[in-house]
Amino acid sequence: MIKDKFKNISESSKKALKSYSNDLKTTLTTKPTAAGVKKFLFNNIVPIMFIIIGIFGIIFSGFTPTAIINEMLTRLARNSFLVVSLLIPIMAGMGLNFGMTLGAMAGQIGLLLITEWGVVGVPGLLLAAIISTPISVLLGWWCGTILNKAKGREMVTSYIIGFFVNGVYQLIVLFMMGSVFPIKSEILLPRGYGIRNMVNLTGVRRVLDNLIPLKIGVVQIPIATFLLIAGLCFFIMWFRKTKLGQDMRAVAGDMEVARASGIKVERTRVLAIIISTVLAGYGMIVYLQNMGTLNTYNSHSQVGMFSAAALLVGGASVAKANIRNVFLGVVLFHLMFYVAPYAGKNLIGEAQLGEYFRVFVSYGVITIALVIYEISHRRETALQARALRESTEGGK
Amino acid sequence: MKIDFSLIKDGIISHRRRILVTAGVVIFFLLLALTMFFVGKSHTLLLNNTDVEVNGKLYKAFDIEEIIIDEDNVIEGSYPGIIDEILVVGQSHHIKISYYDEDDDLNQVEVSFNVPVSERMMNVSLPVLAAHSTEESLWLTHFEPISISSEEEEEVITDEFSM
Repeated sequence: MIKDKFKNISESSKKALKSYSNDLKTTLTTKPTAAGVKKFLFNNIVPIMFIIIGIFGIIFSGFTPTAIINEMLTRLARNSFLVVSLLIPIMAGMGLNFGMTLGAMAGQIGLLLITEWGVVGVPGLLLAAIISTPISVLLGWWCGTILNKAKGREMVTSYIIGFFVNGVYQLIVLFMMGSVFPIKSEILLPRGYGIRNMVNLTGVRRVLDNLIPLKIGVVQIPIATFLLIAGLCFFIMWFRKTKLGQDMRAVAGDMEVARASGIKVERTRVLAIIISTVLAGYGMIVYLQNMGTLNTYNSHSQVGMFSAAALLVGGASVAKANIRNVFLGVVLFHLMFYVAPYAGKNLIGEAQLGEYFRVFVSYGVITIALVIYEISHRRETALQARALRESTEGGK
Repeated sequence: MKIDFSLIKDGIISHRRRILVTAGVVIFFLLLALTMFFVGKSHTLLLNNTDVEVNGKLYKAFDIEEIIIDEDNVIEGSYPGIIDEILVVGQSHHIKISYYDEDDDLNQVEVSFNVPVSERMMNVSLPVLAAHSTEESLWLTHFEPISISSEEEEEVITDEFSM
C-alpha cells in the first residue's frame, strides 16, 4: 500500500515537472506577448523615458562622445555614494529617505570645521568624515525614532524633518559659528559671526579624485573615488546577507510577522535610518570634495531630492531598489542634467529653458515613480484579493 | 580563568563587553581624529625677504637664487622686498636657501624647524635666518593677518528659491 502511494506521488511529481518544463519551453520559445510588452513598458517607463530624452539631448546638445563620457564619469564619482545611501531604508521598507539631508548637513559641518582648522588633503577628508559620524548617528537616531511614530508616512515625514533640521543647521552656522563656536578664518562673515555663503574647499578639492589618477586620452577616471564606491556597493551586498539585513527585509515584508518572529522592528528601522544618514554624510563629503566649493546654506537642501530622483530614474521604486538602479539612474539623470541646457540653447536659443526643464523633470520623475508605484501596488492588491475570493468560492 | 556562567546568563558580561567595545571604538576614532588633525594641519609661511631690525641690529634683504621647503616646494629667484607665501602641511619642516651675500658670493643655509600646531600663519624672516639659523625664535615669528571688514555686508542667501 505504501509502495502504491509512493508510486502515485512520484507519478504526480513527474507530471508536475513535465508541465513546468513545458511551460518554461513555451515561455522561452514563444514571442513576447502584447501584454508582456505592455507590462515591461509600464514597469520601466521612467528609465525608458530618460533614455529617449538622453538620446535627443545628446543629438541636439552637440557634445562630443568624449566630453559626455568625461562628464558622466565625473558625475558618477560625485553622486553615486549619496544615491547608494538611499538603498538601506528602502531595504527596510521605509521608502526614500529624504532625511538624508541630515547626514549631508553633518558632512558639511565636518568640512566647515576642517576648513577652519586648516586640515588639508586626505587627512582632512578623513577628519571631516570622523566629525560627521557622531552628528549623523545622533540625527539618524532621532529621525528614525520619529519615523517609527509615523509608520506608513515615512517619506513625507523625513522630508519635513529635513526642513526642520535645516532651520537648526542655519541657526548654528549663521548665528552660533563665530559667536558661540570660535571661528577665526576667512570663512567667517565680516560682521563677526556666521559663515559665508560660499566656502572654498581648496584644501580638499579633488583630493580623493586625484589620489589615484588615471587618464585615458582626454578622459579622466577618478580611480580612488570609484574604489570607494565599489567598496560601499560590496558592503551593501554583504549587508543584505547579514542577520540585520535579513531582519530589515523581513520588516519590509510585513512588520507584524517580523515582530511575531522575534525581530525588534523599531530598532531595525532606526538602525536603517542611522546607517543611511551616516553614509549620506560621507557621500556629501565625497560630493563636495569633487565640487571644490561649499554652498553653505543650499548645498544640502537639494541633495535628497536629486539623489531620490536619480535612483527612481534608474528604475527603482519606493519599495525596491538595487545597485544597478543606482548607476543606471545616476548616468541617465545626470546625462539629462548635462545635455538639457545646451540642447535647449541649440534648439530654442535659450539655455535657461534647459535649466527649468531639468528642475521640473527631476520633480516630475519622482511624481511619476510614486504614481506608478501606487498604481501597481493597488493592482497587485486587487489581484491578490481576487485570487483569494476565487479560491474561497472554489472551496465552497 | 574561571567563568561565572550565571553572569553570562544574566547578560552582565555581554553588557560589560558591549560597553568596553563601544568605549574602545570611541577611543580609536578620537585617536584617529587627533592623528589626522596633526598630520593634515596646514600652515602658511610668509617667506619675508625684507630689511628687518632685530634687537637693535639691522639685517639686510638679499638676492635669492632658490628656496626649497620640504623638497617639494621650490621658489626660484627672489629679490629684496619680496614676500612669498607658501602652504606647508604638518609641523616639522626643512628649509634650504641659496642666496647672494653683500660680496655677491653664493651662500647656502639649511635648517629644520617646527611650526606650533596652533599657528595659522608664520613669518619667516630670511635675512635673520641666514644670520642666525639656529635661533629659531628670532626668525620664525607669529603673524596675525589684518582683517579688513568691508563696509558692505555680504548678503546671506539661505533659500535659493526665495520661498
